Amino acid sequence: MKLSYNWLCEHVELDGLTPREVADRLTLSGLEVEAVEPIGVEYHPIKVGQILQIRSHPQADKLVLCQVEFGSGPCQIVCGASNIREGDRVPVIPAGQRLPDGTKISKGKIRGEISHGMLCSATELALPGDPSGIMILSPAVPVGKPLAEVLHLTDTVLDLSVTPNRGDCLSMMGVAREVAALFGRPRRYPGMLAGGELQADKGQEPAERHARVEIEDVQGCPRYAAAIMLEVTVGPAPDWMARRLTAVGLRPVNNLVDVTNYVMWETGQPLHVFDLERIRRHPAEPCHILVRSARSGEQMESIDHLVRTLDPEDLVITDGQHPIALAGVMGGVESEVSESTRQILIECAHFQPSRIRRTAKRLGMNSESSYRFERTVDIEGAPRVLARTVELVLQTDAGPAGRARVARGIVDAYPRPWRAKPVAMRVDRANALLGAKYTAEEMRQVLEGIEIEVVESSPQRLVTIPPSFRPDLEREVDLVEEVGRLVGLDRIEARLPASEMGFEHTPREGGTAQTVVPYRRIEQLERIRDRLAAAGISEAINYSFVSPGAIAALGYPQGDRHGQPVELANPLSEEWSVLRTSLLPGLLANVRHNLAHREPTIALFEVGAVFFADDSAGNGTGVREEQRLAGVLCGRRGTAWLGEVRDHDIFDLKGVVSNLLSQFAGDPGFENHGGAIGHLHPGVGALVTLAGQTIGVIGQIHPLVAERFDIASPVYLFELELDRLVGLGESTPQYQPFSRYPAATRDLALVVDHQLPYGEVERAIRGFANPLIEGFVLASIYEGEQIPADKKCVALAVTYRSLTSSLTEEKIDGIHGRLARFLCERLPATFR
Amino acid sequence: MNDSLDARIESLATLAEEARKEFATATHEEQLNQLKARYLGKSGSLKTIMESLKELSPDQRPILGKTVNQTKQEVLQALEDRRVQIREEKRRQELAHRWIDLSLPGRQRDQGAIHPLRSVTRELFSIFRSLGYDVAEGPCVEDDFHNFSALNFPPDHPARDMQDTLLLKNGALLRTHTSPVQIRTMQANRPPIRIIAPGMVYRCDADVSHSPMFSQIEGLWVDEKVSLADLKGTLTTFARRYYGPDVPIRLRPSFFPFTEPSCEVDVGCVFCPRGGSCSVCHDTGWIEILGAGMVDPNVFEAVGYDPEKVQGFAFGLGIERVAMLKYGINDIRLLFENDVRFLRQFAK
Ligand SMILES: [Zn+2]
Repeated sequence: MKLSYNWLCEHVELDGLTPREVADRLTLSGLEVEAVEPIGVEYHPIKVGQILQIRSHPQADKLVLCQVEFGSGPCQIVCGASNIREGDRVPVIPAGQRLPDGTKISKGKIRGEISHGMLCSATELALPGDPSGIMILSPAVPVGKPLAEVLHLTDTVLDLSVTPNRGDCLSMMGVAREVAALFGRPRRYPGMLAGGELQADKGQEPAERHARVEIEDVQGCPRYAAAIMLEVTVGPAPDWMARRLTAVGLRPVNNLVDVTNYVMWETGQPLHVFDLERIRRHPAEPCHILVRSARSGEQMESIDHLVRTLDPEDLVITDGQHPIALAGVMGGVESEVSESTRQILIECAHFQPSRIRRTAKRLGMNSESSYRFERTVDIEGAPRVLARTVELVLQTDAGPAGRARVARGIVDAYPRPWRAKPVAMRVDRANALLGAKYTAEEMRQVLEGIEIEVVESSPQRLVTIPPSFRPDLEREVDLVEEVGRLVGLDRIEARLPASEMGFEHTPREGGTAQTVVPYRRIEQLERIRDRLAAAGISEAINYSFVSPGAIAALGYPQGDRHGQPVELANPLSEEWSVLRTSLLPGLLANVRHNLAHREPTIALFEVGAVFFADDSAGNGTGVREEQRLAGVLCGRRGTAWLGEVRDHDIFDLKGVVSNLLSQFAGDPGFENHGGAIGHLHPGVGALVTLAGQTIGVIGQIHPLVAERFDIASPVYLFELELDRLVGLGESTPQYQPFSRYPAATRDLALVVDHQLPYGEVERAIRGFANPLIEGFVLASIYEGEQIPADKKCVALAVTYRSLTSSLTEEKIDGIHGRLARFLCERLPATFR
Repeated sequence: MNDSLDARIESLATLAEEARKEFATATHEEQLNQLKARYLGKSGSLKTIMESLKELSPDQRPILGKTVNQTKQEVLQALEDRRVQIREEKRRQELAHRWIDLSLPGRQRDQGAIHPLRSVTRELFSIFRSLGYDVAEGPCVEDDFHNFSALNFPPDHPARDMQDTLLLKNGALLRTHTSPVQIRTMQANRPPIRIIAPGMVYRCDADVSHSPMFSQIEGLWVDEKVSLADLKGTLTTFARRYYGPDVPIRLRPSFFPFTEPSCEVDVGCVFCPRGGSCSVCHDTGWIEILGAGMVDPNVFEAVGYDPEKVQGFAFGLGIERVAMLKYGINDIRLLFENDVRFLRQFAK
């Protein structure tokens, strides 16, 4: 909410304080001031000048030469206006300065005569007034003074961010109350806000003769008060009011609308004005205001000229039959005041906040009025607010003095009067929460400072009556908060809580699913991240939502849960309208993005949740979340100047994944998927197993899938089920004794079937199970000349070593020969 | 006769001295070999003196013999020292011709980067872990109870406007903050509770400073006597460890439905340049980084704790804000675009 500092000064005495000081103090007490903006600074160069003498211009008939005094001695200004007289006080802008619209006034000669500035018209100063000539000021204004000062054009606007619990601070009075308490300054009450009866003219008919109020839905409308005015004349509001409304961000319309806005800003109470003649069903009878729930399907055209279809949830003001306003939200077009309005009914009501909120939300009609009703207005304030409103309507009436009249009294349906509810606060409880040692007396003073009545006070306990404008104060803790913030949180001493060593959370009996994560799991995850980063892969974070198209592009088979994402009801866009079932759509989009920026090397991984519809998930949301780890490699790798640049291939990826899995218990396996995974290249992909469980996939993205993501280069990817992975536990290295005797190596070249996976060769060697075989490495896979077309040659180097002795050449050759024969039979294979 | 012995001993000393000088001038091993023959060889100078032994009286012979042997050892040692010198010098000269330009880049696989949001989370983990906190996690998809009602957001209360919610078609919602983890943790455990809960949260909002998904970290300490003073102490410790030993904090009263009293927490701006104005804190000297407060009694009631018996504080911090300030990132969308030119900058 924007607030004018000048206006605030009418509500609390602030002599000697600066807007900045007030703003800072408010911020530290919980009313955050987001901006402090001086307005009217553009008027600073303009001075009040007096025309001492006017002579005709020797060269131009339409120009005159004025001798003008504006503070630094008389000087000559050339002027073309005809409405000025010697002695007039006028706004002057000295040469070299800028007008409010930014136009610079340069010093120079006009038709041969020097001019030291310019006399200004109202239009040139962007002020209301006669646009045709120079603006003539009152003879009382002091010469040489800044114009802004004499016309009160400058002000400071404070932009307050008012938290939803403090509806009372959406008004000058509310903010003034806080400021008064914070600085110990007296409050001020302009006009009728000081109290007193509605200023009705003697002999006027009572308001009841003009209006009868009936509340059908008392829950929705606990109070409905109204004042009646006759023979009003609609016209523009005076400058001072328009300026203030503009300063706080409201657009001046006419005196009636402006007064209601002005009073709403002053008091926080939204008001509505009806054209009385348009809501009276029979000219001779009082109008019948009936507040009720809307009937299903009932329609009303609101003042923004939209026909609204209503719902029984909505609360409406009717003329006894038809809706004339949506309570607290917006008026209806038929009862709206216009230029020709003569008789008015001013509504000052209290509506149930949640009702107003639902209607405003459903119809998308948030207004300053609904904003305040949602945050609760002061139900007790109605008579005073109506008195103030009537006072200002009379003051701003555009008709001849004395024509506008006020009916006697107000109509006031108040079926459920506000009742004070005492709230007690224990002094030790307050201190225990705040970690402070305030006395009951200190607390009492603070509470009384913001007009909370303390009806009982002992060193142990205070009993208070929170005022009607603070419905948020209902509980002890609400009062504790007031004490804390008004004494100042800076006065609370910082200390570290005493904590016992070795603290562990204790599950509740019959408690819900554990949320506390074992620290080991966190460390495991961090280690995974570190390993991947060390392998040159950077961590990506993608949104949890993706487009349905991206999931469809992965081509999951019919019935696969991955192809049936959970849908958002109100997505920000189609691109973000379903929850991801895989990390791949995000990572593939990242690949596309980086390829589009001609990035030669793309290596990304992501750790994150994927989502599946599952009513058995047991968390009450119908959605199961699983943690995934995925990565993509694309483009080149290596060091160019050493001639070692090459494209990433599947073995780069497999190396990364093998390295990653080595920290978990169990031997990883990679089994060709044989086309089972639709989004993988049918020949380049495998299911990853660990300790007998399938934990994910690796492979090249299917070229057709890549095309759907606009990716032309090969992308190698892995996606692992993190929950299964970390569930497996870590591998702990077990020491194996090693030999002190020399090793011997023998080569082995096996010609095997082209389709035989190398893993079979490994398995067969292990199956040979000779303890003297220390190890073996794959030296090469050769296909081509000298090898039949349907075969390949697997070349290995086998190391032999004994733990207990040196091996003789004969012994080694013997074992090696047996191994070779064993493999030839088992695989089968032939030697080369 | 003594003259003769003294003269011979004298000449031995001279000989050793001469040999040392000559060795020093030698520049090749062959030269050294020739000098060795000259001094120590079969017809070398030392041999000649040795042969004159018999001219001396029997009691003088051992004296001269001993001196000759000593001299021989000295000369040999000097010779070998010089030989090592010459060899090393030769190697040095050879090595001086071979050099590799080490301003050339090394053969190094690119270092990948841990995502900046994750790096910050790690740092926060370690600070709060040292203060005795456990890590807790909850689901991203939540129900109204855990995300709102249990956290004292009444239905149709304007406080719900503070968090524009993304809803699922099945009636569930994407959590708007990490605070539901508070509820789930208290539902699962008896007090005392001491957790931090990191995680992704979601709002119906997207622009330069708002992302529809962002990360928060939530803290909760519930015990019998935990007070606002303890909250202040905890956050002061956090600020000092994260931002520096002298960095102050400031609590400003605010409003969150699930805490009362509630406050926004500012830390002293560590980005203010000397003289000159600060674009980070706009010259206020303070940066808002988290929200906090004492757990509202209604929250305790919602999880079945007795608010007369336990009290505690909660705080929540946006990781993006901390990361953006720390790394000077000006557009939140960069954090989720995964441009490798961005990510690579955080490799270390
Ligand atoms: Zn700063």
